[in-house]
Amino acid sequence: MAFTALKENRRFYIILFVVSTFATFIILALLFNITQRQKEAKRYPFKVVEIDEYEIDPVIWGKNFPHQYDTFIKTEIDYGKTEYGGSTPYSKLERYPAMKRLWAGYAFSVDHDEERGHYYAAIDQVNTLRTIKVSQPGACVNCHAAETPGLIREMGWESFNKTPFNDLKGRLKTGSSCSDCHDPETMELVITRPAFRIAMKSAGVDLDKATRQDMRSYVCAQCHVEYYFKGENKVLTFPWSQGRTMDDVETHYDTYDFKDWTHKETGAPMLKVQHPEFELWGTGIHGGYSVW
Amino acid sequence: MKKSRSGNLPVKPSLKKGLAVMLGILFGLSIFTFYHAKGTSYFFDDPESCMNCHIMREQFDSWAQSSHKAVATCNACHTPKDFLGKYASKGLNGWNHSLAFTTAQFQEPLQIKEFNEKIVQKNCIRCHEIQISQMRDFGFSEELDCLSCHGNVGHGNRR
Repeated sequence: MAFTALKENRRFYIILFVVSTFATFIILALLFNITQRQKEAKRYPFKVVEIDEYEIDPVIWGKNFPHQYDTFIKTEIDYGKTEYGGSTPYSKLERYPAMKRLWAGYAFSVDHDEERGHYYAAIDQVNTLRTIKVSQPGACVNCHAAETPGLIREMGWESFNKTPFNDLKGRLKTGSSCSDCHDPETMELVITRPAFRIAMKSAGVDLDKATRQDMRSYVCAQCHVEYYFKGENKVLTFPWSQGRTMDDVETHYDTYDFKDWTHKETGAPMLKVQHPEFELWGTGIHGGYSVW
Repeated sequence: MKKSRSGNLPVKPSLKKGLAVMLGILFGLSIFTFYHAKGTSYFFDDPESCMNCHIMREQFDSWAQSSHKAVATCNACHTPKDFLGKYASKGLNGWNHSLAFTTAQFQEPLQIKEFNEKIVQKNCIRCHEIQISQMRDFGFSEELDCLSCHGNVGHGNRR
């Protein structure tokens, strides 16, 4: 039969040999190509330098993350005043003279300028009369210097907060930096500030389970919140035990009989809310509908 | 035994065995390559699969930051809804993309081509039918291109 004849045909086997040799060659080449491409994927983000685990200098980070650095360094630029503040550090006490009297007896009555970009976080804090004329605790440093995590590692959480601001002042060289919110290897968002971690833990939120979308709010919430310095050790604390609405926060303070200061003219115990952006968003309509 | 020019000679059984082994190796290598390249992932809808090739990372990242992340995966916009159309487009794009990526012959930045642009347009309409029904009945001579105005809904801010 023709079929049997073909099967015994030497030419058939020669062709089969050549074809399968060729196919094996192609498949192996493809396999090596795929492996090569997968290796390329591992070179992301493309590293020009190795960024140390504890590196805080944005210039070094900028070598590996140039686009992000470009936008970060824009916070140095003064783009003028806007309806909501802007970046010109004009004196708010001159602009709103009543504040001097409303804040009588409180450091803010001495000096209060419009705040500006992250770049200036340490610079402006070291130069404000609120830290020069008034003695402040190290707790203030928490959100004003990228050196904070290093100082906490060195001194311990409580004693870092307790140490006078002036003792730490000389070591504050870097304002807010990449390292405050990012992992140097992957640029993933990370929490670096203990106060937020502690507050979320007592609120029953497991930060390890936070999604990327959650983290995009959480990293901001490390600092853009209402806070106070608790007890003798002046430990930075978020007043969230009752919840995060304004009333909840007031209830929290009332249970401690906490006050920010005593008013100089009236003798009234006073509270001054700081910058509760995270709370206002979270308890507002956008937060309620998971709009980040 | 008589020789013939066509090579019509009996073949030694040992040679046959050798060939069988060779084919077996080829088959095994093929399966391993398919597995190594995460071949099965292409049959499903996980957007991570589109990033198997690192060249798509920017598209993946920009989608992750876009308004559509919560409601649409890659396949929701980039493949037809019907089963046949979906796998036909996956097959065709898969072949083109594999060839381009393997041989490193492609243009950067990546650009969508007409065939795929039509698929996306159809999918815009598929989900937003109600919102745009009045616009469509308005009597434009050509169909409006959703992406000419809404180009950033799927892929956030482009650099």
